Amino acid sequence: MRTSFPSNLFPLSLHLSGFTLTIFILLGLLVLYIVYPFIGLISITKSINLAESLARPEIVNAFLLSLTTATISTLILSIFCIPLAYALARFHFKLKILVRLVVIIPLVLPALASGTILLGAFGPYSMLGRAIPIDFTQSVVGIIIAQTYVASPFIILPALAAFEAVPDRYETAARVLGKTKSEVFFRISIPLARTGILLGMLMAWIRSIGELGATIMMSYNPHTISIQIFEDNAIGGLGNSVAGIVWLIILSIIALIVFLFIRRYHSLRFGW
Amino acid sequence: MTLEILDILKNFGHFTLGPLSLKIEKEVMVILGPTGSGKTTLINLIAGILKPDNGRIISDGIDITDKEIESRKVGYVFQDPILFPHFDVYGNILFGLRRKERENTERRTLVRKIIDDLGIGHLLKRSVDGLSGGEMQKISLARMLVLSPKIILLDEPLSHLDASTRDKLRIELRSILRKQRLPTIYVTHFEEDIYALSDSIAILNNGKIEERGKIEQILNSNTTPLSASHSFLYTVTSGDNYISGKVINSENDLAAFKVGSNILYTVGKFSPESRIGVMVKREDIIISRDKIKTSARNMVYAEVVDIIHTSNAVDIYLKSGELKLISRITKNATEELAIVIGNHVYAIFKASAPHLIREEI
Repeated sequence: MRTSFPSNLFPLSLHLSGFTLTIFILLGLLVLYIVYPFIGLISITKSINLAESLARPEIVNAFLLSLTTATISTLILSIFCIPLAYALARFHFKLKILVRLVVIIPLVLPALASGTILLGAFGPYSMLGRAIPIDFTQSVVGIIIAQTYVASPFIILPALAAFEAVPDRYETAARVLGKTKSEVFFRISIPLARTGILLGMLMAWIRSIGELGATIMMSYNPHTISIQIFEDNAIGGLGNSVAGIVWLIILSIIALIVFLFIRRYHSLRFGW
Repeated sequence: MTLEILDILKNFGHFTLGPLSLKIEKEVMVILGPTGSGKTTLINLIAGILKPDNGRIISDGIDITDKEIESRKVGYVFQDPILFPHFDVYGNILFGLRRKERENTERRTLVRKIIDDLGIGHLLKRSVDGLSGGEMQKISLARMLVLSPKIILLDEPLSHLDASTRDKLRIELRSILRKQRLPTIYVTHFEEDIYALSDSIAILNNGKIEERGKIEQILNSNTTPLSASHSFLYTVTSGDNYISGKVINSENDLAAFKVGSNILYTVGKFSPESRIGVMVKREDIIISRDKIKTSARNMVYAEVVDIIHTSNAVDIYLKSGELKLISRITKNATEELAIVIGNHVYAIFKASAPHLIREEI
């Protein structure tokens, strides 16, 4: 007997069921809600010289500063957070639950609150600030401190989930085949958890670029792109801050492409 | 090379393995035992995946009890092949080798030989996705063998395969293990594995070794099952007839082999003087009071040594010199033939009834 299957489980037809219709209405409303503010942006863009605004030196510098610091922050976070996520996924130790709690604090705490306590801890009058002759605030270092603090859960949580999803029998098999614990970590655990790790890194990077709350407290100067938009808006309203926003929209499109690439090639093979 | 396990003990609270001691020479020791008897625990202790609470493990004269897993030189094949999905087949096979070893000419020759022996040369560039279960387990075997281990541990390596793949791989496995000549522990619950692969068997029950010896010794130590381990062995082996003998003649696809003073026939071509082991289902053996003219090639005059009634049939235990057979017949037939212990009858089966399990040339 021949059985035919529909080529699409939700074929678009005139006979939409009530459920499908509700889903599409909700979907449409959400897209509209997200897109609506951009309508105002487009109309303003028409009244200014966008190319000139985009090329404004303070905008370009702020954008480049955000890109650079977010990249450095993501690399620093990767060095600390990937092994930490592995430890949380694999090791059994006392106070593990406490460590899990601590690592999500920056996610729960408003960024401004994080910035306030960071300023208290690293500011020029803090114990650290007086002991070490480095400008922790109002500097690139301050921006990186703010970004790494706020973005850390964005890399830890996906990496933790990814390591937990790797069956530990792969690691046991690799040990029996003569590999040390560190070789197993680099050659088995990381490659098998790579999708989650890469997505976590991407999210931490995006979060770092968009960071405002903590950065504004730690290092108002030099301006990151978020602070530049904040200041441009304060001085001249939306029209004045369009350039920074457009730069970030371009960046978000690039990030989306990278995200899709990671998802698409998640079965990417590393033949080392 | 020898593997010695001395008074090993592992306590999990709800279950304790040992204390037990075992000495394994260059042989394949099949470990049998019910689920939860500690078979996998025992081989995990040898591999170093688990640490014993007490006792020592000596490999080739060296105490490896406190050594890390990676430095034990143990070849372990798991039930599931556990191939690494981010490497292709060749990458998996070479995984355990260091860069220097990969470049070493002798090692390269060994790798090539193992790949050829297992017949997986055509798969090397393939991704591990989409390989059949048998191919995966061969790659897992190759990956272990290229490291030249000192001990081989196999934890039900054929259990995830379909019956025909299992039969084929079993034969290849036997020839590979023969060539290796290493202390090998093979955990299984398949009857054919026991006959085809074991040089000796150990029966593990409740964390203790209950019986140790050659299969024939254990099976023949009692005519009927007595101890718990015996009854387990009988459950595993399902009491079918395992017969081994020397081939004396082989022509026209029919081979004659000698078991004690009896000459039996099986279908197939074999080298003269080779030893073969076959299995005959008890249901395939019929019993006759008189010598009859029949197309069946095997007719053994034997003494009835025991009669055991099962729920819907009767098992007749027969002995003819060295040869022991079990025939399963109906209650009706038993009554009609009036068979009692001590009677002499003819056990008859066709030359196509024996199922070849092992052949030693």
